[in-house]
Amino acid sequence: MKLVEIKLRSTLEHAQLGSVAAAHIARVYCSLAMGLGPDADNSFIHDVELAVGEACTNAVRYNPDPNDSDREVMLSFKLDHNQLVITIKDQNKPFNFNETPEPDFASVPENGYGIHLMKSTMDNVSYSHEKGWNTITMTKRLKLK
Amino acid sequence: MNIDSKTENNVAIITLSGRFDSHTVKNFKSSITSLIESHVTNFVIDLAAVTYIDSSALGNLVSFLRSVRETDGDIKIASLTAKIRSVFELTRLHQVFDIYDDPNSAARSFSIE
Repeated sequence: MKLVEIKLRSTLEHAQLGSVAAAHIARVYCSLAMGLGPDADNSFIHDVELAVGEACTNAVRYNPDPNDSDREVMLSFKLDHNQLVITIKDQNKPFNFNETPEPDFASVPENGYGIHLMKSTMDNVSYSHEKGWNTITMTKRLKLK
Repeated sequence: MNIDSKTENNVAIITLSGRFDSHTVKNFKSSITSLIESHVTNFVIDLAAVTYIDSSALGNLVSFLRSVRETDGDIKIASLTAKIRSVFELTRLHQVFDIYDDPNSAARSFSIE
């Protein structure tokens, strides 16, 4: 099991960094697992980049004190039996992840797509709240050729 | 993200490159606001060189579309890569925006309407 951990500040610039880092790590894990070139599975890499970017942006946007950019967002990436396991943790207020509705596509909303995109691109997305930390856990299995 | 624009016959062609996301969307908003203030009503957004798009950027495009349509204008999207198109499809926004293969076709569509 290989583990990478990243500590981000609660800013949109750092949310972007989290997404960029996720893409790089996904690319490395693809290569490690499959022994193929760095662009072996662009779809896998983009899905991870997008899901992590959305989770990091939500963590920053729901910071109750937007001026407190020292608040941390923690990312971890593990490769476990060809499955990438990612956690995104923040110390914002707990929320009811499982009852967050799907976007009302017919009304063409201007927001509320983030969790939908996470669930659409990853194999599994779950939420927990423990000891003051919200934790989103996302998994995605590498499709070995 | 880099933003270039040129305006001809009341159609602004806005060419974006790089990451269009929650961090860079404020630059897009400010460019668009200047163009709207100069009374441009029709827009083509060329996304050929956009390497990443997220829900914040798409939400901003929807907001922009609403305000432009209030002034009888419109926004056409051009040159989606497979990666960017997939995000439009996941959010169903490919059914909301008119999407063209290239910016010139998108710009010409305004004169046909």
